[in-house]
Amino acid sequence: MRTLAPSRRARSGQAAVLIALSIFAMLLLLAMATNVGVVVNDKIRMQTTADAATYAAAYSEAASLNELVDLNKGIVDAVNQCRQVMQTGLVAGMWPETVPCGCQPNSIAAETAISVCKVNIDVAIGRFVARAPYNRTVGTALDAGEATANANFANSRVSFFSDIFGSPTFPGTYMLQGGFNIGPPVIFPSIADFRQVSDTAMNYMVLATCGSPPTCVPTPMLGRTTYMKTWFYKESRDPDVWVAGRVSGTPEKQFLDTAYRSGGSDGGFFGASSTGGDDEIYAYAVAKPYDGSVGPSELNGIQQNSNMVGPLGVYISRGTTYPKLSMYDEYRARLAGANENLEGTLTPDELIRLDGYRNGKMWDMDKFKH
Amino acid sequence: MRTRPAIPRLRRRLGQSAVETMLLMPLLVLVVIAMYYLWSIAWASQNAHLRAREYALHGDTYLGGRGNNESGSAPFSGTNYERADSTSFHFSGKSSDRSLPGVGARGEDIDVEVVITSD
Repeated sequence: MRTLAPSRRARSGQAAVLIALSIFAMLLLLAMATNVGVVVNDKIRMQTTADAATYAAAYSEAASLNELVDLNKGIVDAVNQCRQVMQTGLVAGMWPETVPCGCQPNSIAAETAISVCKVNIDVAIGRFVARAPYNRTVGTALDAGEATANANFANSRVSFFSDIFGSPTFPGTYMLQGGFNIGPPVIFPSIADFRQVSDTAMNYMVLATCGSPPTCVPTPMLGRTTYMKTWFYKESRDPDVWVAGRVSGTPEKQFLDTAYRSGGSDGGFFGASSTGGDDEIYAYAVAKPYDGSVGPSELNGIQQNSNMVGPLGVYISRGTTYPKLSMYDEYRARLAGANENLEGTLTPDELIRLDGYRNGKMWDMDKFKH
Repeated sequence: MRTRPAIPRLRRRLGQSAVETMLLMPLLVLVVIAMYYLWSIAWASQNAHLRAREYALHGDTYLGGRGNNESGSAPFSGTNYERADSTSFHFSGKSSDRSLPGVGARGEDIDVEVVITSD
């Protein structure tokens, strides 16, 4: 008669089977946990790389803006120097000239001084113009971003959002302003929208004394004005100059990992393959200069002198949109949050969404937050 | 003929599981040690990466004097990011960490350097 109790043979090895199964399960958990560790580690590396790359680009942009501010100040300095010259002339004797009747009163000395001033101002403008183009501002920044990405993450692919207003690859323009007695504007791509003040006025007064023939009527005071192009201002503070980038790729450096095959971005521990790029990790970061404007901007009440002939030799003329002479000169790059308000009304988050709409693609904003 | 004294069936069965468990226990312990060891490496690596990142960006301001860190230069002066002076720059931060030693295995050294450069 058979009993219900298992035989001794049947019972032997029961614990071994259970433990073997447990060990198998633990090995699976070990593999999973390790793979998660590797992925988290790679994610940190890629996020760091993205932050560093975009920061490098923003730093380069900030440095370019600082240089442009300094060069712009050089233009203002040249203008102020002319102002001093003209002022000295005024104080010294109002540029007295004896002019023939029938002619416009004209001081040769004053005109010579203005010509010299103009040359000096044009030299200063030339320095700004040489520094402002896209390849020396934005191009340099993108190179820095790429160099930084590759320094931290071999064979990484870095790209910057291409169509975001204010992003480095969405170029601004600088305009050699046309206008009154100047000619048509000339526009070049640059890091931001710069405009040139075109009607800075150089004024002087002439005490014209008529000589012969005696029929001339003495003209005690006549004004002469020469207009010229001078410094640049950023047309709008908004948006800030900022950088948004992403880094993708499969980390080449081995970390708890099997060897990567040459010619392919594969790897994986315990069979976690990344073949085909499906497992690539994307990381996003934003960086922007500390401030978003290159001056000058608004005039104050005194500077907003609409009188073309005043007590000094040089004026900013009647325009109402002209900038004040103070300039921002402390551009600093920093990392910014995706939801941080820029100087404008849009956050980086919203700008990137806008970029997505423009390009028919949607960025995964969750990957942007870190 | 002498027969072997009979061992009660129940007694023969007792200890069987214990023996099997004991035999497989080293394997079990090995797996646990491996988990601990790999976790430790992952932890150390992540720590090193995060610290190096902070060092590259903020220098000694955030992590001064803690751990095996080496600050190169950072664009931070203690209260704010510094003025960007040149389009040619090189900032870096290094951090190293060692995983906890496993049984019969020394800790793994993890060295990380984060670079922010124009070149």
